[in-house]
Amino acid sequence: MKRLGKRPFFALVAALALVLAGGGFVPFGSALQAATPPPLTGIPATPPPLSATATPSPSGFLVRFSGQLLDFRNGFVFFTTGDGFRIGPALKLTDPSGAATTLAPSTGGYARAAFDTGTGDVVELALSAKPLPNEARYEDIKHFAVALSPMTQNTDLRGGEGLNGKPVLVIFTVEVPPKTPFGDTVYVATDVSGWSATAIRMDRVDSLHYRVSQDFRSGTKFLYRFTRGSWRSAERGQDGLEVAPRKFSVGNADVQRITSTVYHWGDEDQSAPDLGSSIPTPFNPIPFNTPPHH
Amino acid sequence: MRIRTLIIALLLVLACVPAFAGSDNSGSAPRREAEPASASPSPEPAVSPEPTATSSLSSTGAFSLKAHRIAFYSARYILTGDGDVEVKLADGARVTGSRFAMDIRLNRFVVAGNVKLYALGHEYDGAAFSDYFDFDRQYFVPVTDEPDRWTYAHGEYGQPYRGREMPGDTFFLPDVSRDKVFIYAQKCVVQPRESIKFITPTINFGLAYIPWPSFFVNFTANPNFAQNSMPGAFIDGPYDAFGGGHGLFTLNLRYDRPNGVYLAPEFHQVSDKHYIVGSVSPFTRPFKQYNFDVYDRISPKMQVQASFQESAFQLGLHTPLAASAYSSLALTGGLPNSYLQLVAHQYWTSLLAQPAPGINGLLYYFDPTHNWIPNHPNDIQLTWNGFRHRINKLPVYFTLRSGIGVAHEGYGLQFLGGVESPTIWNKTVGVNVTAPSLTLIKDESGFRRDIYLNLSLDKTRTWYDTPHHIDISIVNGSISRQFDRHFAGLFGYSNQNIGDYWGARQNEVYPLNQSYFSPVTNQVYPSYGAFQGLGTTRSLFVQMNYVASTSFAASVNLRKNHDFPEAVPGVFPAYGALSFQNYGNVPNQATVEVRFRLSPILVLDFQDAYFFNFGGVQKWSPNFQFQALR
Repeated sequence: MKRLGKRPFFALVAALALVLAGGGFVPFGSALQAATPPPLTGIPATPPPLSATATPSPSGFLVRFSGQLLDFRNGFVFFTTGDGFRIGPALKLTDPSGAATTLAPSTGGYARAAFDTGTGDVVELALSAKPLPNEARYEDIKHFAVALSPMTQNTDLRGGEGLNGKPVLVIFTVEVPPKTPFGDTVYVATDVSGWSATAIRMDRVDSLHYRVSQDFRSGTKFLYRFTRGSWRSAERGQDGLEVAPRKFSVGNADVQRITSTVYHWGDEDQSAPDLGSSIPTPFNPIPFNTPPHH
Repeated sequence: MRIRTLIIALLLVLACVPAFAGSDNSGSAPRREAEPASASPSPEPAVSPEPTATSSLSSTGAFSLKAHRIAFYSARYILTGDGDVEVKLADGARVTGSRFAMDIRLNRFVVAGNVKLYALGHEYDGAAFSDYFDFDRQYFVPVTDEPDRWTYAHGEYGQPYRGREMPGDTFFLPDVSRDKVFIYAQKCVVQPRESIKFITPTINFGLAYIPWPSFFVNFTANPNFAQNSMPGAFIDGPYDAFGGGHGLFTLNLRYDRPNGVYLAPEFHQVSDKHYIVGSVSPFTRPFKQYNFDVYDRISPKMQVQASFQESAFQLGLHTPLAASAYSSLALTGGLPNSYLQLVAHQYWTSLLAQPAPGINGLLYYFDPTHNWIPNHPNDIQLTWNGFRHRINKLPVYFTLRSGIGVAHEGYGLQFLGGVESPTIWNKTVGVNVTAPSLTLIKDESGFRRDIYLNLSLDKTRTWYDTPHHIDISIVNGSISRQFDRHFAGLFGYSNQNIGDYWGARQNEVYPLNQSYFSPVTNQVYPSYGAFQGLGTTRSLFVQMNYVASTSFAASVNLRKNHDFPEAVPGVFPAYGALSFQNYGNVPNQATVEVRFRLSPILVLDFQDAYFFNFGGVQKWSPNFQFQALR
């Protein structure tokens, strides 16, 4: 989405930019961060005071855990953790302050479940349309989940182990071909920005290097290529052929450095200088002036 | 005429047949094989093989989604469905529930609430179902007497892995309460990693929701969809009308100064190894440009790229009054440590038949502004390019290149001393020597704030059989340093020399009595009188970059040019171009660039140049650059 305008077009372009910023017509562009797994937490830790609570069994006490509901059926309440918890016989439905609620448990709604540690049952469910603060960690209530089958390890998950979605400063540095025109700008085009050839603009570091720093969340993955602002000027391999998109993934480091080399650009002229175009013909018309037409 | 007709026909036909590339698309053809209906769930597979995760960027079959309300959040690439959700998977399975959410980028979806999974002739009750397309895993929370966790691999619904640990966010439902909906619909077809087709949606293009017959969103990872065959425009609003995993038809609403507002259709037909892109721009104005670009990776070591462009003055689709065309072909083949490239160009100054002589014997169509010119020059060049090699263990690299070519114009390519040369051969050799990132002064603090030196030298000599030769030398050098986390500085020098050597005929080719009179300043510039085919461009520059954060950056570039022939005030060179100009660069320039990231999806970039009142006529650049980048 390139805008190149003369002064009279400033207002028009600015107006368009405002419309775009308003989120109306931005169908295909998006932040790279959107490809990130959701953070595991993020809800404020301080719960509001409760005006009423359920009564635990004599051998237990109450532990409260908040989350998003998947389902509420067959005597179980399911959270988006994938766990099903048994509902106690005297379940209280309340609002977050403990007062009576008009809400019913629904998919996608938020709830704070009070677990009776004596029975493992959910004895109170505070319902809300917004995320609620947590009191207990997931690990504290995980064992109350009811499942027919014992938990077994999943080898699929080893690859992504430890990716927690934390912000990571990623520094891209690219060495460009020596014949790169000095005034040109280098960009990073990515699949998550619709392969816009001007998605991320890089800063010139010296006559051969460009750099850009951006924050990404760990776990982010995308494909990218370097361009000089159009796909005709996209990078080529050392063998002059089109290169497959580069793959990128962000780990849990504080800073990640990506160093790349571009050997050729797609619009590089490998041939000899064009006849008649590299010589100042307007002032010295001989010898490259085409004779009169026949 | 045939070419134009062919392009328009292809434009329509190829876009309408998105499966041209040989594999399926956003249609409903399943890619996964359905399981036999007789199979039934078993407690545990007899043999317990570990399922193998597939490629993280693999694609899978299309699925359809129906819901009381489907919403597409374009800024986050999230698709949701609420009420009476029904998902029909490509493998034949069907999932119903009360809520659907899909993160397009993560390429997985979840159906939650009163879920029913219909597969293999059975019906399973559950709380949630999730499909991870990239890994070909399906996760299910069944509800029988008690809940459980089942994992399916490769759509094997008869063999659930019971109790298997699941990814922590398998059934996560995204919070979109603060996001704007771009599209509402009740039905859509999703081709994972490729596209979504919304059936009879309502779309908000900025002001209000408007009913639309259908809307196609393409988000494929294939960069060939981004190939653009159209000329530039000030504003370009693309509407992806229809297409699939391999084809796309786009109608662009564009604006530029000469043409105003106009429509321009464009089509893409792509695979991982080829693309065909065609367009007509403007389609609704007399000055039309027909474009056709083709690329094919013939083998791992060979590719071909071709383009054809016709410019026509044409009312509607009637016979044009003027039509010229250009085509190019580039064939590239990899060799051990080098590659060969064959590049050919053909120009047609007029594609039309020769008209009968008109006023004063001129040849033209309709009126003399549409004159007819018969020239059709062409050239072909074969070049060999070596890889970059390091010189011993020195931090210096070199590349070599050479080539041979010929240019031809039946009406004469060169006219010198009464001799006409319709064909000119050339031979060329070149070398590039580079010393990148030499550490001049090492930073002992460990923060990588060394002072670096970069040097490069490029030299080319081309011999022509006319006979003469041209030498081009380019020397670039720079010293750079990162001062702290925010500031970086660069000091550089660039020198380019071009010389056209004719030996004893030098004065015949470049007469000494030439000078340039500028109508802008009413002055004569005598350095052009001294010009004998040897030009120099020299530039000293200082650049400072300030990157405050990922949201704000600014840079200042100061440049001092000293060129021969000298610059002529009022004649603006192409900004920043290093190549030899017909005139020198403006002696003093200051360029400022400021960049703001207004939101995660919008960057504003402003750039302008000041020329220090050169010749009393040049102050600010007549063009400033204002870009909205995503």
